[in-house]
Amino acid sequence: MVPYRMFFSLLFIMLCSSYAVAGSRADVVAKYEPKRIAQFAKRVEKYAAARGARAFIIARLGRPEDELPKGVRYTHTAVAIYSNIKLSNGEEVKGYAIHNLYQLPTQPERSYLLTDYPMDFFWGAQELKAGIVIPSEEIQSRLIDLIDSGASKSLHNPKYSLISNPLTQQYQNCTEYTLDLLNAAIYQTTDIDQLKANTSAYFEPQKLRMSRLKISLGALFRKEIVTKDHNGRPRMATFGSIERYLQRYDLVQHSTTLQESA
Amino acid sequence: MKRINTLLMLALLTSPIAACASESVNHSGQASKHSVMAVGHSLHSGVKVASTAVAAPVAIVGSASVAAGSVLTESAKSISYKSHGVKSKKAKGKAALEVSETTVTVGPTPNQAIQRSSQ
Repeated sequence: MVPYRMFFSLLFIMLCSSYAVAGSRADVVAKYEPKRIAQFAKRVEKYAAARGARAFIIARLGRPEDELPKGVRYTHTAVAIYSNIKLSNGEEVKGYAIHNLYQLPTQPERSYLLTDYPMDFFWGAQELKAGIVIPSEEIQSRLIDLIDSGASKSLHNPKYSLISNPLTQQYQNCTEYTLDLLNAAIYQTTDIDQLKANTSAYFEPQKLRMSRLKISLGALFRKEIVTKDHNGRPRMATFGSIERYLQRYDLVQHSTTLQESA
Repeated sequence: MKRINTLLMLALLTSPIAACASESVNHSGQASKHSVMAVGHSLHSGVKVASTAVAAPVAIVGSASVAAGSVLTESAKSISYKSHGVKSKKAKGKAALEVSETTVTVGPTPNQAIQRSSQ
């Protein structure tokens, strides 16, 4: 009996430490000096602004790059919108507001929507590296309308899965939400049945290159890892697969990786 | 004991899945960030930080939104930063947008705000 208790205790410690690395704690210490994060965040804003981007897809690396499965380059994706930002002191400034889907810290299997800013976005980054895809002007305008009208909120599914299947409606993660927003902008509808039908027809998800054993064990021990929305090997929306999707249909104006040099 | 070791090995194998495609952790409401950044003051070397009340998309880009070339001087090719795999089309001739030098952050979570104001 004692060895089993020891096993579960050690397992609990390991899973907790894994959460700590993922940054799910309420109070995480940033890896980089705030000044460096602020400078990098401002560079990303200026890079997009210099190209006249009113809306773009932005991604960050919340995990060490060498821990990511093959084919996955970023861990969090969202939509940045050029905005008039009213500060608490009454001043108005111009910059980018980032429209995110985040996991609830206390319930990682649930999510909520939050607008934050580049400094917040990169606060817990493991590397000061940003993925940027600036879609065509038409898509940008439609994304702005979608978010400004509040219609974007109807696409949010609070049932969160780290490896959600973007072709189905059962679960959603940040990248799938971003893809749903893009498709809502492209097809000018928030009818999720229609959007998922179109996604299934035209979007090629990224295969999760990880052993089935690891995936099954992950699903066993972590509420936010769900496999029941997949048939066979899990396939997900990633920043890279979204970039390829937009490029295939000639909907990208500009894309790049912006990184602080060593 | 062998069985326990096997189970532990299997458990260790599960941890990399946390590094999967999507890690949607919010860093914005963190107490550590707000205590470090001292909203409303400057980070060292003149980085001004301010918390936000509300953001509204700029739907129409008129002349008022265009900074006269000021941000065009900021390039990914600057010596401090590098850009990889740039794929671009129709980017030439795009009007640059103005971006404030102020670093904006969301305010603390409601419970942190209450704690702070009652201190």
